Amino acid sequence: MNQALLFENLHFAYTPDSEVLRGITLGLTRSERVALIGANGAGKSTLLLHANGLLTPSRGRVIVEGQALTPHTLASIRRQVGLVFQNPDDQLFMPIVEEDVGFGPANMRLPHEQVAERVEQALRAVNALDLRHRSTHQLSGGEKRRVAIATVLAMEPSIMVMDEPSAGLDPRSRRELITLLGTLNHTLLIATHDLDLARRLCHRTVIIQAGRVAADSATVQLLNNKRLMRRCGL
Amino acid sequence: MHLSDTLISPAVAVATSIVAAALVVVATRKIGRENSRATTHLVPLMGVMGALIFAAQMLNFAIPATGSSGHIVGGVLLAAVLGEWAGFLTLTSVIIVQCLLFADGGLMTLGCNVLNMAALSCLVAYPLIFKPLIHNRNSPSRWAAASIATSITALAMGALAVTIETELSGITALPYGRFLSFMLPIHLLIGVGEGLATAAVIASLRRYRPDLLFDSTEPTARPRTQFIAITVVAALLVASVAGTVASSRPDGLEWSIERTTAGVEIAESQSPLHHRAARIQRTTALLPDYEASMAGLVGVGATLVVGYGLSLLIRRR
Amino acid sequence: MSNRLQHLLTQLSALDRAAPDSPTIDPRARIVATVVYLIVMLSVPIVRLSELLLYALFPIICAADVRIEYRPILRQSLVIVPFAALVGLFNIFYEREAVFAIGSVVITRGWLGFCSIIVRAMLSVQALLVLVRTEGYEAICNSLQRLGVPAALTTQMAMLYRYMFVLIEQLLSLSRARSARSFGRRAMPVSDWGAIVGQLTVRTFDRAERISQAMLSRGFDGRMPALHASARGWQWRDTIYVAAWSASLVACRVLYPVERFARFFNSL
Repeated sequence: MNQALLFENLHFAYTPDSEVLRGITLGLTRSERVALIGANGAGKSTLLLHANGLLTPSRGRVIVEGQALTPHTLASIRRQVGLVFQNPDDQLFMPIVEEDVGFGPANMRLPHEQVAERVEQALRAVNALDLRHRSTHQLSGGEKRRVAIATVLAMEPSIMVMDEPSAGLDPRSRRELITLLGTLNHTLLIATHDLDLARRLCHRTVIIQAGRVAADSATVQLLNNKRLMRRCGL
Repeated sequence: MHLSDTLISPAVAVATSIVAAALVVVATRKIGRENSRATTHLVPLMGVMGALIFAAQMLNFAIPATGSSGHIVGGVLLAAVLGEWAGFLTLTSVIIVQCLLFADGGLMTLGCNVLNMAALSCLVAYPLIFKPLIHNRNSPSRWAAASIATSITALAMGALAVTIETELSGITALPYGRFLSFMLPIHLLIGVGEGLATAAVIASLRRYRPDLLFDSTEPTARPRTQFIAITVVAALLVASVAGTVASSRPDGLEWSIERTTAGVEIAESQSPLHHRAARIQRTTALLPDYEASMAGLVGVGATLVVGYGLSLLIRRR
Repeated sequence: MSNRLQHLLTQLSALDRAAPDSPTIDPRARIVATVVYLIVMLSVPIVRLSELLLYALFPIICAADVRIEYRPILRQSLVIVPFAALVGLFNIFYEREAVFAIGSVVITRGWLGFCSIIVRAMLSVQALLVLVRTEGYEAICNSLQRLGVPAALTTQMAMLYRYMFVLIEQLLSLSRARSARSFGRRAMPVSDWGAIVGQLTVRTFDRAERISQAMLSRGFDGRMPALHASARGWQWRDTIYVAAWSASLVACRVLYPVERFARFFNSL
């Protein structure tokens, strides 16, 4: 019961004839950081969308902090599991940074002062308080990424799930991002192609191949296993 | 098609704004009620589709056989992918953004422009012409014909509405028929361009993602309402065309020339001194249309307050 | 295409720079004052051109108040002149009754109408431009929501603005491939245009799906939350601002100060 996030024998198919997830079981303990790697189309993003009920598995279940994901628990689980999407342009949908960060807390129908407070805390946590009044579309790639993380932090989740956080960033923004993620003490599940990021942030790495868990162990050990990596298209 | 503030009187502006605002409120409720679960999908979809129409308007296309180019209004296209009410609300937001960012159409004429462009295309032409035309007839030529027919009707009705609103405002001295005889042919042509462009997008959607389009097997307006509506629209169009033809006949032109020369004669028969006196008299004579226009102003103010109050009441309920 | 787009992007970036940090007057007050101005200004009978000219002060004062340069506003409002002149031209032809004469030049009602239509057009554009420049687009969206415009519409306006840039960028890259293959032809054939816009529509639907997921995972339930966390409340000075403008505008409208002054001057 000390699993923060648990996927239990998860199956999922977008179309009836081709399963994307074929029985994935994966658990994260509290404050653990896990990297999720795998070739394109292996099912990483699909798995992440299950973490807060954006997709419903055809078989198996998702358990968050001991609570199974059902239509009844959906709203509370969405507060506990924050999802950072791959493309910040999809994540940041409001014209002003502050409004976007405040969207989640405002949806919880918190009073204005509390929303403002959370916005400030979240932006400070990602070192982006100066971007507060800026237009979202004017931000640089690195800024967008940090703000996207802030939008999720403002919900005060205990678990953060991220899809390709370092994609499309220049080397400096990428280093800053890794430092920033290192400061978070949330339970973290990061799907990534950035093996260096995995090595720096996560003790544990899970490899997914064709909808199944192909390997699950210490990051250093996995990344040094050249044969395994090649076999999994990495 | 974007009506500017200068041609509209405050009374017409306020009246049309109230009607447009009422339609917006109805649209927001329809969207909320019809598919409360789908609303979470519809909100972002409407947002990006509005942005898409905006972007598409930046890209001109050639209108065949004329050598000119045009850009899309987008009403029929939006209705075909979003449904009439969501399409209406989306096009309304496009019109507001055009007004705020480019001063395309004025702030006071927002109501007129929303009615002329968004309401007539999404809420009138689309359900009454487009949907019945493709009902259970799912061939490419049907979709194209429906797009073109609907766009032409929508634009022609829009032109008619512009003329009526301008006429009611009484700012321009251009007679109704004469104005319509300018507006109608131009907008019929624009309608053809709009229709072809809409048909082209729909054809491409039908090839790649037919699921994004309106379901042609969905039931449409009942035959009787549809018949009445089409008759009314047709009657309006015939009447306006007839008015156009009548007013562009030579005798109409002669009449106006006669009148204008007569005016000049009168003017010349008067001495400058006389004029000076007339001017002074004019300004001292307790301001000729003072009372009428003041009453108008008070009326407009009162209507505004009442309309705003009502809308707040409706929203509270 | 590229000209129009360039124009758009420069204008928009100018707008974004405008957003003030600590507004002295609530944006709602400015919106209301502008609407009052437009109604009063547009209600001035068109033969009273001299009175109409007095209303040119409103955009000038408002621009000065927030330290916006007036000249670009004036220049931009000239864009509408040809259109207004085209319509106003008919007043010259149809309304030939003389109103007064300056020396041997007879001024007809139609000429006054012609000039009035142009002045009205320019002033309404100026008032709008000053308002948008002062507040910035986003603040206007928020204020409209606070004035009672349904959240569905203001959210729609906000999202349209947000994704306009993204989609224009996408459309450019889609059309660039095509324009690279068609030298010299300016507008594209409707069929090409339809294919490009159709393709963009498909991508846009996919994007909408992803945005919808992002919204859902942040607790969106179909009801837009109020989004004005840092907006300040309505204050006394906002009331005074609206009241002062309304009173002076209505006074101008009722008292015809210019004509009174002219009369006084003539009587000397």
